[in-house]
Amino acid sequence: MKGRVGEASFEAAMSTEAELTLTAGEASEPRGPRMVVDLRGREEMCGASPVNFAIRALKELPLGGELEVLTGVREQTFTLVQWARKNGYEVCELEESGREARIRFRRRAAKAAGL
Amino acid sequence: MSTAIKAYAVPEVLVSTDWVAQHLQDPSVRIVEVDYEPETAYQLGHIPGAVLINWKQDINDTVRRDIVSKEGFEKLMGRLGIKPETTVVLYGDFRNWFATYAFWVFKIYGHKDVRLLNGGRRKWIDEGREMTEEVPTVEPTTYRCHGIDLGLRAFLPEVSYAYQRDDVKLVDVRSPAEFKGEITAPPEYPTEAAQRGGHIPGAVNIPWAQAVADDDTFKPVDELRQLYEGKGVTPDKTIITYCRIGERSSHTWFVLKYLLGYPTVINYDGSWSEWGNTVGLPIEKGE
Repeated sequence: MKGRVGEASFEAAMSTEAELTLTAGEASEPRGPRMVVDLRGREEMCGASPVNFAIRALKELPLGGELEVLTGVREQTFTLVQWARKNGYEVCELEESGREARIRFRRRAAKAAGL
Repeated sequence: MSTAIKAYAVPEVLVSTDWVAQHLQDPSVRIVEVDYEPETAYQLGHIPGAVLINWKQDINDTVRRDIVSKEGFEKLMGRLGIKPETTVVLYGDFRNWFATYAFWVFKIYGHKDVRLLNGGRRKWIDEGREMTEEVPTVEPTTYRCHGIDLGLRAFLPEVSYAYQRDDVKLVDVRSPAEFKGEITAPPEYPTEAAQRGGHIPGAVNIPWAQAVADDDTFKPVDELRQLYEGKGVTPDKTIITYCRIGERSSHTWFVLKYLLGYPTVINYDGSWSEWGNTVGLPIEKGE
């Protein structure tokens, strides 16, 4: 499965069973489209979890770039928020509805992240 | 103990999140998180007082491709401050797969009182219970195993004989796509793939997740009985469970042995990564 973000293609290295959706979100700021990773309804595979897919997408963000993640269980939300906090990302928005959540992350600029 | 848990064959092996919350300070209880990836689990937060078993390093011998040795297990228990009489409660990432694998290893090495947190890490967090990053300091112990039960573990030679027997049923707990041979390993781990896709001849496919509810707690005993017996997995047979590397199958092993009380349930941890790569062994593809 390939999603396209602007001109860049992003290949989801997951099986069809654990296929994840990566789409261009609506631009909320002039800096361009935001990537969206949808983990809802996705299952762990042996040694590969949906959360890792989101973390990989976060690591590939440029400084100042944003990523929106839709989670399906609170464990995913907890993990991603905690991971972001420890790794120089800002949690700009967190909207929870039952077990699901929409989280908007921004990769801090090097100075702000203390790098 | 809830009515639902009491209905299982061996209800003592399962504890609820409430039970754990009430025993956080109990010195006779050691809570252990078992993670495949501690960096995205235990290290980001865990149940207060819980110690860590890193599945890859602590419970396996990665050189021999084997479970941890008896001596290694004793050292691990000592490091975690566990005594033979300690009540150990296991839970972990990946929906308790690796916790049930550890449970299986604890039973092989004869630890008497080991239990599983019903619903695991996912349910604890879902209920908004306290999490901490603080790693507890534990007083090391000297631990000695009292007996080893290798009857819980199947090796390739016996599986390659047993799969042809009428009184043996193999349960393949992987996803239907893996069972049918459409995929052999997660794409992120291509080096762990088997040479061939498919399943052991005669095995039935009952994916592990069919035994749990939405919140990862085990389904009621009647539903579990119907699930397995409906596919010919009955207590009069020797049951061998397998998956790819033996961790998802330990989850089903736990269900059949402790929740349904089947007398002879054996986990084949070599699983598909061994069978699918072995020269000369037959396989089946498709449904």
